[in-house]
Amino acid sequence: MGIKNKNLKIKVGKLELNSPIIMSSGTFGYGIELKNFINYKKIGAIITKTITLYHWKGNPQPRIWETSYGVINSIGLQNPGVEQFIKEILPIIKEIDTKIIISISGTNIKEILQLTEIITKEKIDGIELNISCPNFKKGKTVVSQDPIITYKIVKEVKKIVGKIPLLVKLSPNVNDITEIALSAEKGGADILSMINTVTAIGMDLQEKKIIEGGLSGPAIKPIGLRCVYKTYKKVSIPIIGIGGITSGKDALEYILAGANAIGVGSGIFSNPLLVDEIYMFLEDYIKKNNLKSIKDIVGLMNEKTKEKNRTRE
Amino acid sequence: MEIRKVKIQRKIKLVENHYWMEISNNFSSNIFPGQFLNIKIDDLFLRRPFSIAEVDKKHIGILFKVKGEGTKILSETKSGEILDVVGPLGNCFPFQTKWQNFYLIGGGTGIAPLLFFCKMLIEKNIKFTLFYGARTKKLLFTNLLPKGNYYTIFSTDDGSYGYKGDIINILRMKLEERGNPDIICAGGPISMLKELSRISTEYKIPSYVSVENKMACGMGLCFGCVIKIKNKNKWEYKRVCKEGPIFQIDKIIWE
Repeated sequence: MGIKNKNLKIKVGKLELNSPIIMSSGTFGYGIELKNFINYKKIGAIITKTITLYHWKGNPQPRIWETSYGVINSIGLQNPGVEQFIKEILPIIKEIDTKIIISISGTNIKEILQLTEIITKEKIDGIELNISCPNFKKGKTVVSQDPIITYKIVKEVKKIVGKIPLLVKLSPNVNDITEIALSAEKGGADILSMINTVTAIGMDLQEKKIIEGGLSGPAIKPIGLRCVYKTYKKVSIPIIGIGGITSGKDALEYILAGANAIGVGSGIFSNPLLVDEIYMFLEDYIKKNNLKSIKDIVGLMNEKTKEKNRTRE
Repeated sequence: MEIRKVKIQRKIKLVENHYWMEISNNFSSNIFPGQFLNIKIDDLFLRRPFSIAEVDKKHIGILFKVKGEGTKILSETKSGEILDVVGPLGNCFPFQTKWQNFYLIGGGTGIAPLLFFCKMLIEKNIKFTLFYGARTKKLLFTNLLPKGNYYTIFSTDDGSYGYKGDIINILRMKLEERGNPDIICAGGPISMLKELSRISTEYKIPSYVSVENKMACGMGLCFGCVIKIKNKNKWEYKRVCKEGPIFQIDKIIWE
């Protein structure tokens, strides 16, 4: 059964999506684990687990620590490396009837460029450059924390990917995320994905261990929402809003703040039906407000939009 | 894998901190011994995984011990309440018709998936021996054992019931006395599983164990629950929730 309602279709940059609901990187396995739960026609795209040039074993245990309204993870980008990914995993994901975006990262620029060369030869719908990985450094600086390095790397990668849409995933663990966002845009990013996890620690008193990693879940939603809100004012490329979305209302807030699409992350862990819920909520919202399309409300609660509307008057 | 609202039909406090809970079986999937359920707990972000200890057409039974916040909240639920449950998840204990003699070994609440396995073997009329150990008599829930014609061997650390000592040492003794079974399936604390790993190698008995770990998603999405599994002469992290929770014991690298 097809989706009758076309109101949720949205164009994000050059990507024509069935809906603004995107499965974020790292929280949707290889894309096929939830095939019994997910109506793939209701999602706009799947962003794969981050792939690196070589096989990464990932971090030792403990990898997970639950907090109030969230979870800290330290998975360490476990993945089989690009070669095996292309051979064994990509063919299975490609059978899914949705847009496939490949998340990539590495430890240095040379590796990233080599990886980009390999992956762009495949038939894919987009590439997401994950610059927020703490191991992705130039010298001693983590890429996502330096606007100049971000600009240079995005520019180099964009040269290789050419017409394939390039997404850049931004880290909130910076003084001013809009500065990094502008650098990525200047470097040639087509779309911004934000935010990645927020650095945090958990304390296991029983085992007397510290778990250092990235916090996700409802606890970080206000942080992500602010980042999208502030960035939307400054950039002219589309944004995928990610961070703590666990309901249709959360998704709506991100869209109203300026996101063209939203990413579902760890919210799906406890609620495998989250995609359906968000879809129904947004569909309902559009009907109730007599809107033609979801894109009519992108940034509606953002001062930038309000200002534009004022000028028009 | 399904997501269902189920009713708590019965909840019994076995002893302090240990509970037996029966929920309505609203699942249409076949459920196999070794698989688990992921239960939504009020006020917590992540679900909690529980081995399936009993299944019939009307209900599913789980056995749990209060260890942290999740199990504490679950222990405070009452009959009649509704739970949001994902399952059945994970793989199951292996079963081959050529195996005619099983040894099942349960330590503490690790007995849970084996209770279900016992029932299956009874129904299939297959010969097996259940080894079941706990710290002390009151923690040995013999009343939960399915009725049927099979051998049982019990032990307690303090000798208050059955043999005195660790159930794994009793297993060693029985192997010396009676020779090898075709296969061993077990669940219990890490220390017990590690010792079983040595015995399995020493006596060359194929053995499968149910592994427990903290999980975030339980569905193979996050790679949070991994353990080290041998692959040729290397190893890689495998998901307990997806490639497990049942692993061949000689593939596991214990940490």
